[in-house]
Amino acid sequence: MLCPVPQTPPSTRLARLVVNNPVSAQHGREWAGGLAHLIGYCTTPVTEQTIIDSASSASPTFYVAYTKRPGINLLRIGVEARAGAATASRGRLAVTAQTSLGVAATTSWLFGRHDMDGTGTLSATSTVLADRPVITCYLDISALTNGTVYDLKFVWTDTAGSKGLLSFCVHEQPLGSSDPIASSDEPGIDINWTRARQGLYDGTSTTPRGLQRVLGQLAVARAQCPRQGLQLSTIEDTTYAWHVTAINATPTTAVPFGTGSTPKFRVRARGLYGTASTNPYLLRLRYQTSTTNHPVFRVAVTPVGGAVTNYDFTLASSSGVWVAKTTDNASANMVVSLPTTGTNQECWVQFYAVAATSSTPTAWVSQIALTELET
Amino acid sequence: MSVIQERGYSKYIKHPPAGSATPLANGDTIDSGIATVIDSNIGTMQTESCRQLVFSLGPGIVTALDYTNGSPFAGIADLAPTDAGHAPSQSVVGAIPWDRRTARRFGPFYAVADRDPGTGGPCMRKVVMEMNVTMDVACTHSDFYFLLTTAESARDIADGNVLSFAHQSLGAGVSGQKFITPASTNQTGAGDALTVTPTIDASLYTPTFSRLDTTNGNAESLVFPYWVWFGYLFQSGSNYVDSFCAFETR
Repeated sequence: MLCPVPQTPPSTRLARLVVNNPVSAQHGREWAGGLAHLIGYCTTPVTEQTIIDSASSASPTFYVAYTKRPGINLLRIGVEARAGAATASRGRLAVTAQTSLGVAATTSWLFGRHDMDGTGTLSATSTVLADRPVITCYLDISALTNGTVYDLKFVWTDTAGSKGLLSFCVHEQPLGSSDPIASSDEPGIDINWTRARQGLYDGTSTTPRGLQRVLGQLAVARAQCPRQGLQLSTIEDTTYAWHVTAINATPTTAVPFGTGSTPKFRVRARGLYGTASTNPYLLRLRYQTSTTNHPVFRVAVTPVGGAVTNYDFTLASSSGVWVAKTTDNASANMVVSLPTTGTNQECWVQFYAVAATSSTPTAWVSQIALTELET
Repeated sequence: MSVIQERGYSKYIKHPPAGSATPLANGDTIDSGIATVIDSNIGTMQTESCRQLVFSLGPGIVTALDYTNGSPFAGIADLAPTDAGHAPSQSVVGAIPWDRRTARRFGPFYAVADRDPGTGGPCMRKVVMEMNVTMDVACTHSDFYFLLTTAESARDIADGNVLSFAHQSLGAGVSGQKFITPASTNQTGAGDALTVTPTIDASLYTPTFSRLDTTNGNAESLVFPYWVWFGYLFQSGSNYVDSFCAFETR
């Protein structure tokens, strides 16, 4: 990065700012450090998931949505394989990145590791051991396009009695504490600009230096740091994916979850603009419908201490094909707002399918992803 | 609340986007008004940079383990016998084996340190944790455990690697959906948080990769990795763990 990335944010005192006096170089350094901490160190846990025990396909496929952001070079991917009855269960895992249209993207594994490229064999821990090692690899994503949503595709192939994955995670790796090599999409402020006696000049739209750069990186940090990802993935096939066949059935409980209760998820809304503001998220679904009719997907948001708000989205039909969509049947973005009015800015999120008529098709959902949409 | 950065305003102040015509011309000094807005906005973003750590479904139906007739440790080959010396209902980290029947683990997360208001040193953020369960009225007793630890393995949890720990119990006759948090067995209000005190131990920072460059050298970052564990034990009945949530808070 253009500036050392601190592990703790700098502590600025406003008292040092005197009206009518110019700002000292120290302030510029603190802006650079504060933004570097936000952009380079407060990286996002993209997803953390455990797979329900009843979804124990031997060779499952999962998808995780990820939006590339500037400066991030590596994703840390960890998996825990699920052992079957065999004493030495094992299988192979292939993790690849692809666009929502299924076009493969260029990535590589750090140190050329083969653990997650589909060629190495991974063991699943025995059920009689409490020790549960996580298999971790680092995926180099520096060649991906900033701002594009990719699907990270996990394909587990059983080779000896394993039952797929017990859990998996994807995390952004923080930027280097001190890195003299700047990439072409390097975020942050060049700390050299903030030296004493060096003018921090305005810059232009084509040469966004100086104050222009500061304002631009404020916007980057506001929109992307962190860019929360609230997502659930299950096996993408018509046996194990959440599916809906009846009016008001709930995709996360119908099959195979089967508890009779719809899981609630507690989250904290980001309140950048005070308690009257909301925190927008873009909904992305991977789903399949059985016919040309349109299912309706509902996100219910309840601020702690408040009343529920339902967001209903009529989905485009997919007629037997798996699709990834962020837009509804009318091609409008599926946007959900988390309120900041709940106690401690907290709220609950629930997912439902709503079948308004008997002609509503059977629908399978393999990925529910809410990604923060601060603009 | 930890001290992060003094804020002049309680919210983010919108400013002209980069690339627009700003009121400052080249050669002008930046005055304290603009500097205050920039300072305050960075402080606001740091305050609001709390991250959702866990947003996951649970394992679903959980096998009941009757600890009055047989220890949940039975059949686990790699735990020391002393671990089984606690009744599961006790509030100690060694009360359950933390295996896949009784626990789920998430992480490692790289802690984002704020500043402790007393010492000014790095201070780990509080973490709200919640388990969403569906209880069978036939369940005679259940226990729930919340753990922040530097231990990746269940075998290491009792070895002094605990950052924060909490335990909750439910008795007989409870049915339906419950929201279990470190301080409540049906938390319908704001979630309560596990607090790590007093500060992050600097000796536990470890380097991790940020970029691999065989020509110019690799870049690394120093991080404080920790794990979030949820433990559960149901004595009888058909009970479900529906979801897990954890997030940083103020």
